[in-house]
Amino acid sequence: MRPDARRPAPPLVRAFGPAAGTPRRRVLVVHPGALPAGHYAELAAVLPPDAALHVVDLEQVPEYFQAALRGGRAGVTVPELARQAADALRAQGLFDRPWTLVGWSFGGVVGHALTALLATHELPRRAVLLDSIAPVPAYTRDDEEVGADLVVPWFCMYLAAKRGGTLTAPVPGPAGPGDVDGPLTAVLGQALEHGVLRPGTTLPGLRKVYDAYVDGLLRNNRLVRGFRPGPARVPVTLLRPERGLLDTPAPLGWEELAGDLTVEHTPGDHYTMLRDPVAVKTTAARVLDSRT
Amino acid sequence: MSETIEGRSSAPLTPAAVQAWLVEKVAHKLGVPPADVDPDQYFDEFDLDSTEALVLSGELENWLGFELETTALWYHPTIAELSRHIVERQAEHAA
Repeated sequence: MRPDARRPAPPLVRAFGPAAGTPRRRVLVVHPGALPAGHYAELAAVLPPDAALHVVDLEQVPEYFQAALRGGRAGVTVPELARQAADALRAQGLFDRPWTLVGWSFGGVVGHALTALLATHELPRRAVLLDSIAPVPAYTRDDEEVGADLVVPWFCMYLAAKRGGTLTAPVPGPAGPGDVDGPLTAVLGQALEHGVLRPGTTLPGLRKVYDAYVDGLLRNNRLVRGFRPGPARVPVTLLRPERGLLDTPAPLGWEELAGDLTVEHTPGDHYTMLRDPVAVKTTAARVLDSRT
Repeated sequence: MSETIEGRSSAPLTPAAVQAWLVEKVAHKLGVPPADVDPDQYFDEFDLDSTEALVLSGELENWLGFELETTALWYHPTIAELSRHIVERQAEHAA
């Protein structure tokens, strides 16, 4: 997001890829931020020319974006975010063609809420969810459960995907799961060694990145805790990367919401699955396999 | 100047000192001479991504010794504007 309150914010909905003529079908992505929305350019590039891809970038909703910089307390709810997305898509006339919903991570939750707001004739043919955890109690965490022992490995995946490179999560130190600076010092050393961060980056700088990452997680957890989803109105395909956020064979709670649920697997991790060539092709295949 | 780039003395901040620190840091991150960093240029027009902006923010807070409101770069989007804002904040802190 452009750091200037005086200039107009970028639009909530952005088009990616070549829109040659009138598309025959659409792919509408709900993106929760953390990584740039531009990562979907890879998916747009492998779609056929008659498919147009648009991304709803939730970070363009100020109440949502700024919550990741203000301790994780958002002034909106999941249905309100979904309403903003639906209104923006409708205003652009993007429900005019058969379409597939794509939701990565928390974007899958807002996408699920979005389908609850649509008229029957506006519904997508299918929802393709990318390592998204369902908003159900079994998969909802309290704030105190979001500790360094859980988050540092995710943060390593995130930082490596965002900046390019590889980082290995450090072994928890003797100070215990509450220690943050110990593991982050190890992450900083690796990041500098592998060129993931610029030379001269210091621990206080990396700590700020980590704190914003944690606040983003807390924001999304709190939004999920206050959300009571209904059953899925469309078939759901859940794509799970080799290294997702959760190491469980269960379909991340979506079995509680979706009667028609398919689970498939892709290479990559929670973050790299948006750009890994094989994962992107798998996503495209599932998006196109919607009888659209 | 009583402040230094590496460590700050307890003397009151001046906009010029904060600006000098920010220019030096941005120049170092970009690998360019400080003279090439325009204090009136928008932060997002430098070749710094959002991760590097957060790193800069964390290092700045560490140097200042107090936390900035996290939307400071949003409302004060150039080095010159942010420097003036920080000095005003410090004066409020001290009052």
